[in-house]
Formats: sequence, structure tokens, C-alpha cells
Amino acid sequence: MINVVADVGLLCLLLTVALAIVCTRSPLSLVLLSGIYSIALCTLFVILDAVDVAFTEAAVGAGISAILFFAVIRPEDEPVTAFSWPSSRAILLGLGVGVLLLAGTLDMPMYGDHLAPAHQHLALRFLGQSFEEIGIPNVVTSVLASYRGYDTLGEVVVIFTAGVAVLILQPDNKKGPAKPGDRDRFAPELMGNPVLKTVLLRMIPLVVLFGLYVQFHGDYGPGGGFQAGVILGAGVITYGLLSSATRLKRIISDKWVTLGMALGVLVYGLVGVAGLFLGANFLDYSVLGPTQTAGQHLGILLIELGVGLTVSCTMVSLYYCFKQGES
Amino acid sequence: MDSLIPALENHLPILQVIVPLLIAPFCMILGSRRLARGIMVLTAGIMLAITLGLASLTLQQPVITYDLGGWAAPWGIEYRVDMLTVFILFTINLVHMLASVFCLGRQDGNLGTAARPAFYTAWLLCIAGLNGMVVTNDAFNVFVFLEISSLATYTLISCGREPLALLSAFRYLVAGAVGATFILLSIGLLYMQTGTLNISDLSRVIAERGSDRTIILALAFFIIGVGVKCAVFPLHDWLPNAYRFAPDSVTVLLSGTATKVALYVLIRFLHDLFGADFGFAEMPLDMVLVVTAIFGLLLVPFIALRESNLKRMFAWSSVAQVSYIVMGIGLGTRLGIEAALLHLFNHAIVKTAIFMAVGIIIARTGTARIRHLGGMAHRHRFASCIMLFGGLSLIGLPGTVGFVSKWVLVTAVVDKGWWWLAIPILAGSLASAAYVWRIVEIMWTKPAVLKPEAPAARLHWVEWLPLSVLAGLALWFGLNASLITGLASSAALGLLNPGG
Repeated sequence: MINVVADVGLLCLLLTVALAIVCTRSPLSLVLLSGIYSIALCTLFVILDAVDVAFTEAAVGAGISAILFFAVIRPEDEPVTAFSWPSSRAILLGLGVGVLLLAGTLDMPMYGDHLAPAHQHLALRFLGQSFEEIGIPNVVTSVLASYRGYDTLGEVVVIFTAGVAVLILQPDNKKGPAKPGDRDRFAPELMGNPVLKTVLLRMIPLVVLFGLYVQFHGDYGPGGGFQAGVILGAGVITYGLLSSATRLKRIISDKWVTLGMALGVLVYGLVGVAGLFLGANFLDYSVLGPTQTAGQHLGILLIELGVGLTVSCTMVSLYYCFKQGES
Repeated sequence: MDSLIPALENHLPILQVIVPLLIAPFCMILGSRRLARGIMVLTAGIMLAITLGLASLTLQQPVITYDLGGWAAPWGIEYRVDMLTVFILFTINLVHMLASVFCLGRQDGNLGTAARPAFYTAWLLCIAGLNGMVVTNDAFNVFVFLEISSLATYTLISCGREPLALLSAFRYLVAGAVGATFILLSIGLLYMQTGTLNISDLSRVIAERGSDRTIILALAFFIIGVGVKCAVFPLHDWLPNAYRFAPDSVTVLLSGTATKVALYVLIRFLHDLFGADFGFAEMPLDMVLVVTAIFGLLLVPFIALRESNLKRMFAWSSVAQVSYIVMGIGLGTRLGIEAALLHLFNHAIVKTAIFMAVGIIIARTGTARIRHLGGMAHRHRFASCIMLFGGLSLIGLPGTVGFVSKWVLVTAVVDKGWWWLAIPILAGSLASAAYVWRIVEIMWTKPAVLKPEAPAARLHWVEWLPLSVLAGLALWFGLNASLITGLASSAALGLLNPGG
């Protein structure tokens, strides 16, 4: 019963926030509403037992993307009227797609039905045999990192491509590095707040430690390279927010961040290529160790490191690029 | 070394994709622009060689499969190479090879020094993503590689010199993201109803279960999503400005590869995933595709006729040409697919050559406005002649490659019993004759508007070599069509009867 109430409540909240996002004209409210949307979605993921997806949604959707948006919106862009209806064409199109989607749901299996096709075909082998074949208890990690490891390589490359895109798009900063003491436009007094600063600075080591835990514990509990990467990235970016991007760059220079981005993809890819040289197919980890499960363990550990490296470096690189844009 | 080569043979399908995919981050680490350019051309050559290797393998064995990670098909991701795959791979990798040579002679758009090696990284990621979409036999894997190629494409377009390049890249990003969302929804709905992602397995399960409303919705969403990527007529809005404002070398690359791969995915999903019986007998997909195609090929040439910018005019012409391909696909018959494939190949070659010629003329004269190009044909003879030759092929004059594919298309519509479709095909050709003639008239017969630039810059080999190769191919296939027609025909046959 409590689950139903939570589900329905959260879905209603999502719908309301989505409608508010469509109608608002103020960039600031847009960013805040998107953050609320992400947090609500993240809670829904937890209810659906997809804790790892929830990690990512919380760190990226509510955390890093909001920080990046704050770096580009300006107080002077705030409109006089903060609310307006979308055009009638957009409403009609949205309603049309909505009706189609509703029609499509009529033949879908019921929510939570264990006889649904999605639980009857591939899932049976993943749940039944993955522990013997791969040797780690977390089936999600087995599927993501081994059975469908190539898709995961693709996803890492997507993130790398996004990082490359922002690097290319960043304005060539001819005025030299950003001035020291650059602060976020919207919340200078907030970041100068001694209470906030003291508390957050104490929390950064814990965030980083938690990121490392998620990275290395992904075989057993929810987590893995993507989640760890965004958590680590968020920790580093928090330091940048509290002091300044310039000071952060003195600790981790942007050259190293770019290098890390590319290196992570290469680590993942080269683990796959190692399989080729050992006489197996691309991304077959079984040949990497003396036994199949030992090889799978090693392979998954290495590729997750690659994922974590690329994801965390890309997050920090995005932050640097956005901070460089302002001066 | 002897033992490595037969082993290499088994891994060709995956090498086709991971070679550019892993060289791309390597280019980034090197950080040198000159080195990155050399590596890009070298990679393009290797990729073309791998495609030729795959082609020779498919002659011995019609279907090659490759299990990624060593996991057998429905559980792991599978690569699958047949005649159709090789046909498309050859098209895009040939264009990519010539486009990357052409790219050597271009400025890298409006880029800061730090970003220059990144341009080549994005270029390699784009072509790796496109190859990945062609070789895979897994619906979700198609989406992942679509994301890679799309993101890289938006980036490449935004490198254009003019400030509006950013806006057109952004508009393409929004359109492309909406399209990709529809494709993802479609794949999600399919997984919900079947529990699998492998294309062959999906087709088996759908045939066993029969269709229902959810699968019909998946088909509809897929058509809309991939329609945006193909720039099918009413969903084409992003294309003209994206092609116009992208750097010349990027326009050359995209016109011959990006929409072509999306069209391939359309063919592959309709026949191998949903099945022709479902799409064409149960659902009126033939009518939907043919009607949109008719509108596209009749209306778009008139927009092109009123266009003031040379590059955007040929971009509009690409939208019109896609309509012919969509019409061939929409017929759903073997001849229809053969016509679609032939037109796809011909258009890739011809439009690549045209955009190279346009790029050369724009770089020399410094303008792309059509009315400023008076008399330019006498100053830039080679490029103008190639452009004229390409234009004649767009019209479909006998003796050009465009004639061959339009002839097969007319045969296909008559064969299907829809002979009346020949009328819009002919009318569309006449309309394209109008906009090609307009260019010819201005460039050959009108007096010069611009003062001649001081010394007429000579053509560099990176400019004339790829142009000559493309023109030679177009000429050869136009006069001796049997080879390419045979290939397209066996690719279509392999798609419709995978057994024999």
C-alpha cells in the first residue's frame, strides 16, 4: 500500500514539475525545477530497486548539471513575466504523442508481473547462470560489464565524445586564465558563507571516499565506474565551487583532466584488444586469468577503472570549460 | 605473422569499428594537429581495406557473425555482416577515405589551437559510430553508436566559420535528440514485449507472438525517430542549415555517410526486425513512405530553385534525393530495395563530389551567394565541370549514374503495379533540371560579378585527387552499370531471402 502511495505521489510530482518546466520562462527557475525533477526521479529509481541509476541521477541530474547551468545563466536574463503557456502547436503535438503512448500501454504487461516477457527470456540466464559464468554476485554489473560490455564501452565513448565536444566549443580564452576569486554569479554570498564552507570542506573527503567505495564495491553492491565517476567528479567540483576553479586547476591541471578522459576509453578498449591477442573475441575477459571467473573478475575490475577515469575526468573537464567561458 | 593473419580475418567485423574508436582518444592524447591529420587519413585507409577484406569474405560465406565478449547471440551483442552490410560499409568508407584526403586541404573551421586535434578526434568518433550502426545486429547497440555519431556530428557542424554554425548545430542537436528519444522509446517498448534486443531474435519472437498495440507503437516511433536522422521530407528541417554552415570537409563527409547510414538502419529494422509482412502487409507502411516521398521529391526542388546560397541549394537537393531512396524502400519489393540501394550509392558519390567542388569554389571566390558566381565557370573550370556533371546525374540524364538508379526505380514501381508513381519521379527530375540549369546559366553565361582574385590559386592534389576519383567512379558506373547493379541486387536478395 505504502509503495502504491509513494509511486503515485512521485509520478504526480514528476508530471507537475515537468509541466512547470514547460511553462516557466525564467532560466533560474528552470534549473531549480530540473533539479527537483531529478531528485523525484531518483527517489522513484530507489523504489524500483535501481539504486545505481539513482546514484547517477542524483549526482549528474541534480548536482553537476545544475552547477553547469548556474555557470552560464545570468541574473539579468530573468524575464519580467516568469510564466507563459507553450504554443498551441506544441500542446497539440505533446497531447498527440501522449495519446499514442497511452494506447501503447494497453497491451503492456502489468506493472510487476513476473510473467512479463522481459523477465522470461534473457533475464532467466542472467539471473540463473551469471554467478557461475562470471563469479560476481551483482547481476547488474555482470550484464553491464560483461554480457553487454560492448554497449558499456559505447556509453563511455559517448561521454568522452561529449567532453571532446565541449572542449571544441569552449571559447578560446585570449584574456588569459580566469581571474582569481571567480565565484558563481547567483550565489556569491552563499559560497562565502563560513558555515557552508566549513561543513562542505569537511564533507569532500567523505564524498571522495564514498566514490572509491562505489567504484570498487560495484561487483557486490550497486555501483560501478559510472556512479563512482560522477560521485568523484562531484566531490572535486564542490572544492572548485568552495574555493575557485583557478585554485582547483593548480591542483589538477586541465591538461591532466583531458588526458584522463582519453586514457579511460583507451584502458577499456585495450582490455578488449588484449582478448584478441590471447586468441579470444573482443572484450572476452575469460582468457585474461587462469580460470574463466578469475579472468572475468580482472577484466571487469580494469574496465570499471577505465569507466571511472573517463567519467570523473569528463565531469571535471566540463566544469573547467564552463568556468573558462566567464571572465 | 602467418598465424596472425587468419586470426585477423575472424576479427574483421569488430576491427572495422574499434580501429577508429580507439585511435580517436589516442589522437587526443597526442595533441598535435599535423600528427592527428596524418593518423586520420591512415585510419581511413585501414578502414577501407578492412571493408574490402570483409567483402571478399562475404563472397565465400554469405553471413559472417561475431560474438562480442565471447557471449553467444541473444545474451551477448552480435555483429553480423552480409552483402547489404558490406554494400553500405563500402559506400561510407569510400566516401570517408576521400573526404579525409579532401579535409587535409581545408582549414579546420573556426577553432582555437587547443581544440584542433580534438576536431580530428570528433571526426574519427563520427565515422566509428556510423560504422558501428551498420555492422551490429543488436537494436540497443544501434542506439549507442547512433549517440556517438550524432554527438560527434553536432560538434563537427559547430566548427563552421560563421557564427550561425553554432545555431544550426544546436537546432540539429534538438531535432536529433528528439529523434533519438523516439528510437530509444521504440527499443524500450520492443524489449518490454519480447525480452530481447538481438535483431534476429526480436524478429523471431515478434513473429511467434504476433503484433499488438505496443509493437505497432514501437514501429511508429521508430519510423519517426529514424525519419529525423534520414531527413525524410517533413522531418528534414535541420538538414539545409546544418550542411550550409558546417565546415566544407564536414559537409562532404556527412552528405555521403550520415543520412545513408540512417536509411540503412531503416531498411534493416523494417525487414530484419519488424518483418516485411508486419510493416507492409499488416501496416500501411508502403503508403506512408511513398506518399511522404512524393511530397518530398516534388516540393523540395522548388525550394532549391529559390535558394540564394549555393551550398544550401545542394543541401535541399539532398532532401529531394533522400525522397527517391525512401520511395524505393517504401515499395517493399526486391526491386524497390535494389533501386533504393543503387540510388543511395550513387547519391553518396555524386553529392560528395558536388560538395567538394562547391567547397573549392567557395574557398577561391570567398562567396557562396549564387548571384555572385557569374562567369566563375571560366575561372574554376575543373570544379565547375565536376559540379555540372554531378548536377546532370542528380537530374538523371542517360549516361550518368543518376539515370541508372532512377531507371531501376521506375522499373520497380511498374513491377509493383503502381506505374502512376513514374509521373512524380519524372516530374521531380524535371524540377531538379530547373535548379541545375539555373546554376549553369549563371556560372557559364552571365558576366563576372566579382573581381578576379589576384593569382588564380592552383588546385592542390588533395583537392583534385579525391574529386577525380569520385568523378571517375561516377562516370564508370554510369556507363557500365552492371557491376554495381549486380551488387545492389544481390544485397537486396540477401535481405529478403536470408536463407538462399
